[in-house]
Amino acid sequence: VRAVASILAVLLFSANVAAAPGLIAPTAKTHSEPEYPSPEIAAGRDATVVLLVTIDREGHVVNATVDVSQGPYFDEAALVTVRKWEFFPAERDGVPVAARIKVPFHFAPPPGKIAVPPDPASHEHGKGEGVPVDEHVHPEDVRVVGRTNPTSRGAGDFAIQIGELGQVPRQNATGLMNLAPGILLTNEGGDGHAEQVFLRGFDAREGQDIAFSVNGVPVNESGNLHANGYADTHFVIPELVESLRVVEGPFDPRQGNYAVAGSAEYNLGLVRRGVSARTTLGSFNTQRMVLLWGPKDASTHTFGGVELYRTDGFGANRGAKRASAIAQYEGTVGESGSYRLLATAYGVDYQSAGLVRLDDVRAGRQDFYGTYDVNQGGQSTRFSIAADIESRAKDTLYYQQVFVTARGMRVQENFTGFLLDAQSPVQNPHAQRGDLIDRSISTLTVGGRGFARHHEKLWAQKQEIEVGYSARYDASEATQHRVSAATQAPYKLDIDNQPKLADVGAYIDGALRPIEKVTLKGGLRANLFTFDVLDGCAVKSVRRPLPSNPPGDASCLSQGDFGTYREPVQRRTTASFALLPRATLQVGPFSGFNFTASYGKGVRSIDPIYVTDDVETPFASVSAYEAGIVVGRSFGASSLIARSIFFGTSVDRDLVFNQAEGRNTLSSGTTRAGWIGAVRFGHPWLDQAAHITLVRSSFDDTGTLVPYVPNVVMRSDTAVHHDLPWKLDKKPVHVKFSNGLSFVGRRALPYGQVSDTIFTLDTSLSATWGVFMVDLAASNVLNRQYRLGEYNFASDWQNQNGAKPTLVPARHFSAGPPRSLFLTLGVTLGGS
Amino acid sequence: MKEHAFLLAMSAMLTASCIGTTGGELVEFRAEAYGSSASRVFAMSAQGARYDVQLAQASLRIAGIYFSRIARSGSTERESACYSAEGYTAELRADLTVDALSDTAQPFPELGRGLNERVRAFDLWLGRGPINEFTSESATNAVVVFQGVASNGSGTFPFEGRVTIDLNRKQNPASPAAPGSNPICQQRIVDGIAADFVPSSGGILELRMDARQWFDGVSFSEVPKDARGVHVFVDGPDHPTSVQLFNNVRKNRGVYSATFRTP
Repeated sequence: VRAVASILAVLLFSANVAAAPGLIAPTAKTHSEPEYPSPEIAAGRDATVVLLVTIDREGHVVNATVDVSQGPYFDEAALVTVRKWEFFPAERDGVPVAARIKVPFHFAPPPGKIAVPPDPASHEHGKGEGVPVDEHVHPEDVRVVGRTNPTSRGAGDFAIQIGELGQVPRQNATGLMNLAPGILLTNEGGDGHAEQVFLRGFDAREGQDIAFSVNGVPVNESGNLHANGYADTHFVIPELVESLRVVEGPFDPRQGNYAVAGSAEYNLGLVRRGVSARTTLGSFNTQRMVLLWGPKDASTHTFGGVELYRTDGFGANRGAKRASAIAQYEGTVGESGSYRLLATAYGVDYQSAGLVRLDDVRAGRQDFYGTYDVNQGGQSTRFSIAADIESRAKDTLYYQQVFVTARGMRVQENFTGFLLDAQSPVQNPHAQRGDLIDRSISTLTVGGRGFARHHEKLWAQKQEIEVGYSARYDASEATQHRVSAATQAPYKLDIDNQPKLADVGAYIDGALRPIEKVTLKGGLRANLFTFDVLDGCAVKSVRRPLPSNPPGDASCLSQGDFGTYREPVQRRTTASFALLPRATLQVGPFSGFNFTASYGKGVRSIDPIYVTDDVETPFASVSAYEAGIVVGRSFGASSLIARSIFFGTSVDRDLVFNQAEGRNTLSSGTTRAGWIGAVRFGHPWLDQAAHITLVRSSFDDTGTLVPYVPNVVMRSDTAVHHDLPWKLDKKPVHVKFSNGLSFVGRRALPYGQVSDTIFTLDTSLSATWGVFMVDLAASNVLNRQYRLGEYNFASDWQNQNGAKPTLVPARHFSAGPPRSLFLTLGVTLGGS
Repeated sequence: MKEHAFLLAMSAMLTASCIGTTGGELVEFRAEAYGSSASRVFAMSAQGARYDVQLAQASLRIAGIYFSRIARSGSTERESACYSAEGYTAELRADLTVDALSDTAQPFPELGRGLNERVRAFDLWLGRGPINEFTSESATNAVVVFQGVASNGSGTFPFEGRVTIDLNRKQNPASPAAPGSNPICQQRIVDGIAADFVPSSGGILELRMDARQWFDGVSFSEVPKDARGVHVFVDGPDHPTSVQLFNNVRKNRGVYSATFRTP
């Protein structure tokens, strides 16, 4: 768990620390920051763990043991971190030698001050893999200032350090979410289309029920016509993701709009300094190039990265081309503050196969990886800049961020074929022209957020209080046309919306510690949503048209009954207010056991398309609760964290996929209950994460299951890494074998159906030698032909051939990718 | 003991997560059509005259059947669309020419499929080919073919006829303001036939037709004779007796019915 609190300070070994005449101490070549262990958040104590670290002649950490312990959580966090470090080896008279040094890690909870006590000189002897340790060394302490992490909100708050598990094959940065329990990602829309996320029994679609952010900048798009709250994280370059925090529930007062099922925050950073270049070639003519730059003297949060990608895609109509660039600079403010400037740019053009009917595939009328409509696909662009600053003044931490994001998006989808284009009397005679939806959306988002967090000693315990706000304004222009399959020309305008949305929230949050080992966290959040929607196509039919003035084929009409003139537009404005209490009780630790219970209310603002003038918008509200146990254990150099969580949620207005609309539409209330088990095991050469989620989701009014959401999700990520016993040109070869295993149980589908199960195995084998690396990755190693997303609804793809239409629900699916191989070559230059 | 309790709890959770349904069920069923031997010989009246009718041949060409959860009262509620995108619960997309004089089961060549929801009405699609397009094969694309002899006190009337639904049935739009009204598919679909059953997998749909009703109100004496002395029904809208028969074929009450036989 990465949690919370702050770093606080890590030792970085500066160069040229002389311990003895002619001796140069090891210096850190690459380093990363430790995490403040979440189970210790409640106690909120400062702690300094001292490790004895043996570094061989090649600069590798070959052994690390705890010299001064602060309990299993702190010890493990320090051990996990230092094992990732690489050093320039100690030298005596210019000759590399092995050495053992003491490395103190100081942890301070937020908003603790940076305080790294000077470390006494080390005089330890030891051995590392049989290499004699030649000398004692005296590393010099150097402070590294880190940002405060948010406070843990219980067992369902998963702060995930990517670490070695970043090598497990994943399609994109969104795939990293699989490291959090209970998540299933599907995508019927293509390589440039946001993944559909299922989390803890929620069908969160493309972000409607999960608040996504990247370095604090919100990704969800309010008022997006394709999906209100649509969140596309494909602009994130996976190599730049340092950690991921997934809060599975609305338990943190900082969580704002869309945090119904929870939230996911990507934290960017680049551990490997220098200039890295990676080129990937693989199946389906896939090509990828990544350039990363981390100035060697700057923090891991100063970096730049560019990604270029193209693929023909597996099967028909799945090609994509995309480019992404991200750059961030971190500077210091005063003694302990810092600021960051972040810029991102992204563009993608892609095709989409959409869904195919299972009966057509079985009858040989359609290929498993085929498509009905080659006009499906889209284009997407995203440009954003953000700036933030964090500073401390005595016992108060201040944070402020502003951001601007410009988005463009076009999506073409056809779920129903030739079904919906009914002939109306006023239209000229036509056959079914096709149901292809062509959506175009452009959005400008500006906003900011900030907080102040103060702590005081009271009742001999550390008490904290935080006040904060968030504000954003979204102005969009969106249209939805239906496009003729024969001519590619739009024949109907479904929607022409220009929403202007404001979302202002404020909260008060605190951590109350009445006695030792008991912490009550939480507070109250209030949000105001305002909606100003200009509907450019408010009149689509005339009940009583004049025979002398028929409306004809036009979509948006300028006449009312009996031919009375009116403009086709209509403006609607309204506002909503939400009060959202949230609380977490944490008790422990007792022999490594922490007990937590959380409650919270979350909110999803209404889709602007449902706004009615001056009627309080019926936004969806969720009540969530969970109880969990977290246990942490250290076994020598190994560590284990395990969790067991029972949870329940209730949503008063859920969203369910509507194939005719091509989007989720409002349905009745739902309730879900379930259990999560998760473990993370760390060892010097092994990193293992595994989790299982069981959940039951049902509608409140009928008791029937909510369709599409999986009831069982299991995932295992493994990374085994070690140096080979042989060396090449006196340099070690570090190899890493990693794999990811996914199992998704049968999902309930409409009409009493259930989906097929999903079982996939992805694996990779990589080797690093000096500045070079090579990686061979295979996804879906077993080459299982599986249906990733499954749906039941009516579609008609026969009518275009003059055959009788298919009008009753049938199984549709999006195909999961077949076995794919990717070879990556990389080089890193200038790192230190 | 703790391990057992944990496993028990996990099993209970797993079981609970797997129990339940979204409601409903997709079903597949066979379908059979039945005529009626009672239609071979029957008596009827038209314009005050009583006829004894002997049918030697009566067949109906079916293109498919669509079943709806929505009961409809009128003869044709659709203004211009051939079908709606919603409301259908089952479909039988199979061609079959039914001998309307036979009591024997005449199986459809394909399975029907749909939901196990209550059917309140169904649409009977007649003919062949695209439902809303005119074809050049109307001569061979007869929906109904019949032949027989009718007699009354004034004489005997051998008759025959065929009903096609193509350009010969084309109707002009209702008004210039409604150019899309009166599509040809409206002539080819007998819609809103009342029904009340719930399909289930393995069951059999039984479609029954009463060819006697086709001739309800048809005055055979007014049907023009050809050179052979056979009264031949005009295949078009120009003769009132033929129009009467055409309308009878498309009546959604008393002519066709559907029941479902569960296994």
